[in-house]
Amino acid sequence: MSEVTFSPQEERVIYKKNLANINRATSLIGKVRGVKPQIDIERGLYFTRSFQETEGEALIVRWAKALLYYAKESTVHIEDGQLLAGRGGTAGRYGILYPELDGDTLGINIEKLPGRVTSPFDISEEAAHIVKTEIEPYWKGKTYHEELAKSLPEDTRRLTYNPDEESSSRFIVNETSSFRSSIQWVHDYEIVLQKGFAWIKKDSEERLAALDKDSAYDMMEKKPYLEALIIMSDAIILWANRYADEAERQAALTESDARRQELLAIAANCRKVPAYPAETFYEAVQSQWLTQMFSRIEQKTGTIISNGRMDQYLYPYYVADLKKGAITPLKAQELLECVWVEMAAFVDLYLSETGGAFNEGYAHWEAVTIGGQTKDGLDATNDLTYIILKSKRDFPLNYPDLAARVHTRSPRKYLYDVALTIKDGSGFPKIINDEEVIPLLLSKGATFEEAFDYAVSGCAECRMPNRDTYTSPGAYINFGAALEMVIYNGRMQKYGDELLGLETGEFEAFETFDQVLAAYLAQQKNFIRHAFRQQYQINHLRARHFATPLGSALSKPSRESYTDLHQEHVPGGIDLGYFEFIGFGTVVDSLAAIKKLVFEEKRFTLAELKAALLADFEGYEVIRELVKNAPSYGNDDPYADEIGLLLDKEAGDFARKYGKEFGVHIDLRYVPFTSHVPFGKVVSATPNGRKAYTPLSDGSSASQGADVNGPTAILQSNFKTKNWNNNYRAARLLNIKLSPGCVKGDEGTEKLVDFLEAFRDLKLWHVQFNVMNSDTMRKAQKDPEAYKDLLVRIAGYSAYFTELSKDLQDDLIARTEQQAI
Amino acid sequence: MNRKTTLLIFNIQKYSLHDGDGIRTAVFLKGCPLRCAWCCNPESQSGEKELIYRKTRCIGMDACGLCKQAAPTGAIRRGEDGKASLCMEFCKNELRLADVCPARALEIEGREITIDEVLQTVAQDEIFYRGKGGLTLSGGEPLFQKASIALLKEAKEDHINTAIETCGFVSTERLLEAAAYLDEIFFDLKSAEEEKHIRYTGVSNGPIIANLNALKKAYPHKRIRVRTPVIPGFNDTKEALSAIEAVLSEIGIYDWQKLPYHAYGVGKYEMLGRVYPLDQMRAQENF
Repeated sequence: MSEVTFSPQEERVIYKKNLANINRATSLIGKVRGVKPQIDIERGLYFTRSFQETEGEALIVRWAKALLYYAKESTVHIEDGQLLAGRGGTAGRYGILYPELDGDTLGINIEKLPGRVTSPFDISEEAAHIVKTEIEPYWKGKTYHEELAKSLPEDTRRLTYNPDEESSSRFIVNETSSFRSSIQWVHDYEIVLQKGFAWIKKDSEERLAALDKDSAYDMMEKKPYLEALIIMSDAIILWANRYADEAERQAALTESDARRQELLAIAANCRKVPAYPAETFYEAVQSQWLTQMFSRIEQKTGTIISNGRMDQYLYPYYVADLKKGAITPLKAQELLECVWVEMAAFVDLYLSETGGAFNEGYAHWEAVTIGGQTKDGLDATNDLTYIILKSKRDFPLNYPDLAARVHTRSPRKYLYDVALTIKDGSGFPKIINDEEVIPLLLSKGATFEEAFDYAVSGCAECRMPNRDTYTSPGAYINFGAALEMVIYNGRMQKYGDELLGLETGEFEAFETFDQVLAAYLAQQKNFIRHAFRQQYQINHLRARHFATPLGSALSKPSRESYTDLHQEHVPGGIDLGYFEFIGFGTVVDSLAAIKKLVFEEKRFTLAELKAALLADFEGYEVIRELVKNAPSYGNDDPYADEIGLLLDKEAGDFARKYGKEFGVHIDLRYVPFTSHVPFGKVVSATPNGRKAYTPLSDGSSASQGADVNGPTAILQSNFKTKNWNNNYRAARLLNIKLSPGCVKGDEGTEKLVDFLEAFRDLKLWHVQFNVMNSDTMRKAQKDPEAYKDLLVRIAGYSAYFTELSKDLQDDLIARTEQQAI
Repeated sequence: MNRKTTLLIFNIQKYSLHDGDGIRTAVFLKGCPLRCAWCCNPESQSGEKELIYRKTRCIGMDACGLCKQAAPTGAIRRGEDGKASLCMEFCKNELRLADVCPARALEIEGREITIDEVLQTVAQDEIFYRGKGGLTLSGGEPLFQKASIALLKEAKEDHINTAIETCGFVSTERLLEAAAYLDEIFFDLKSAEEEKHIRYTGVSNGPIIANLNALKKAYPHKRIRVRTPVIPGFNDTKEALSAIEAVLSEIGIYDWQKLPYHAYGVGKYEMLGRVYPLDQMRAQENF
């Protein structure tokens, strides 16, 4: 037998091979890696206390005052050995509380957290006591989650929540707006680096002075907005200065001269930024970090606030330092890696089980974007682009998430470096395609300049920092459940006799495939219909519960219109919403199997199929084998792909017709987080041979193990199931698992570049790779301790394999591993 | 011959990476004049369709048993592991058994396909070729079927990059004709020793070396890469390899690649109900 080829990551994990580059940041990794996170309650507590004091005031002012309260009262802590300051907790790895979201169920969830299977947390007894006696009681009855649950129409609510006290998710038409207060977002960091918060404050003061006191609108809308920006600016400047104080205090105490110099440098940085413009690379990095960390304190941006185009906005500072001889590429890499460690210390805490199940393995998407094009449409790669890619190969940490933009003039050198980084095997970077994203943004109203300058944010999504204004999280729809409702006439095995969907008729009675298809499309449409009703309500309600003075200050349309970003409509912006199609491969394959085997080949009847499904295929192995071998999505097989194209068309057409009522461009997307696992847990056996309650297919990827024609066919199927003539579409997430043998040696790198170029020219939105032997994952399941450093790609992020649930681990193993022939 | 001419193939493999430049689509043709003892594609040897049994896919006689009902009496029984146990002597021509197996454990190796259909499949992945990749003919011996030349000619009409993996044991005329439509030729030379070559492959290496020579003379600038699978006990000595190198340098070919032995063929012999010849031969040599 020829030898197994391992990826560099596998070599590090299995053979404990040494790292290529060791620096200060590598010595800090131990504080975050493999450590169970602690809950730090300060954010939740100080926000609660501040909100108690500010009742009745304008929401944006209350939010700014809460930030100021936090800035004054919170513990400032600088990790020993760190070169950067700015944290939301003192433990090595910590999560913080956002009681304004789901404070009503805080007590119950806090008790469940340490033992939770997915992403557990620890909390001290004392802290838990404060949560239960001080934080939760204040929020009970006031949270967004409670109001949303109460305000949904009865039939919509039934598809959204379980009929329990906590209104936990039913995982059918799943709203995601109550486990985060904003969708994935990216700030205009340039304004912070170039002007600073002292300028934002001064500008706001000047505009405040210029308001028309006779105008009620000026006084009631603009005034609180500007006041909030001023208070928020004071807050972040105060917070930075408290870090400067702390650094000076530590400097006075340390016995190490070297450390004293470092601490004094930290102090000098924090006195200056983010209040004033940064002048060096180090200051720019510190300024950006304090800003994004304060943003994490401000609100729970879904999937964590993104880092934007780091290789672009940091580049001028890098070049200037380089000219002065004040920096080297390795020093710049070390500073960035110090930021990566601080990012890893903060863990996005999802209190509800729904949030946890959606975001397994401490999911995080603080995406750093590299490459792409400049605002002028020229290639944007520069020395920092390559330093960040190199850091991803050198530095064995799953932070930050990295997104590489590609376009038709991306240099070969860049594509090679991207391919080399993918080959490392820890899942970075994901690839986002300018050739699909930019035309879509243009068609939705962006200017060329804005579209060229988009940043990746979240799993696979994009933001234009000074143009996007829609922050409402959208619905994740379980279309596996819609399929099940065709089989059981509007009902699901999991929920017994309860009528949840439409009564489309007895399954056995359908006489043609077209009747089955029509029944499915009716159920599909019904789910989308309820998702839109949810969204309508969500758009209204969020504006009454959430505000974001920091986020607003860093958004041009918000500043210019004096409108908080969480308001329903911000003049001058573009509102891009979405809903997610979950279970695409599962549904397409199921329908293809029914068409082929029941109606064309007449191998068995619908009644026999239903009996097999009810028995979870026990005793019906022959039927299961037949359906598993029917045409399926992901094989460049028109038989299945044409069904997929129709499903995509129907969903997209609905969005095109009714999205307009919202004034929001509601796009069809295929981005699951890890929701395909909990969604699968409510769906019984499906006609594609999937066993009951196992994961659905993820994103726009094929069903697990169904793609047998290689990775080129997967891309082709993806291409052929997209309705190119409808721009009510956005991200499609695509996972591909390659065996390291496929990309072996220089030849392998070159062929991976060929593959990436074809992906780009097919104008697909996103692709990411796991370059790993499935056997390595199986071994890691058996011996988690030895494989605790093993990173795998999940859904737009990488996580430690051994920190995932058994279900998700099995799902990753079941994905087809593409072998080299 | 035209685009409607059919070929007998046993597989088309997209995303093929190790048989030429770029990402390629490999077409595996049935039929081979050689019987190499280590052959990793024994299903390619016969020029006819045949039944293959992939036991790992069988879901067991208790759950299924459809093949037994359809097969001649006694040809299929329940094995000790509960899976179907085939008497290949009786089954190999019962191609219809493949239709009754729901698990695709029983499949037919070999299907007719027109040149047009092959080229359509090849064209599906054109976007991946990036001006380098393309079509690779493999097998079997691709030139065993005369229609392969028509396929290559039509591929060139479509501006598709072409490569071939040949054992070299074909008529010189056919080889040279094919070469006109090929961008790259992978040419196997397994041994310089005639007697050993006959023993392990069933044929003499004389015509193979003569063909290589003729090819180099007719197409001095064509990319010809000679490959030698290094087989333990057959040609894995320094002397055996030097002898091959000497033959090549006489012809004037220096692009020579040694491929490591792998035993991928073992399982496939089992699926065809045959014995892996290399094991047998090694056993004979040792005693």
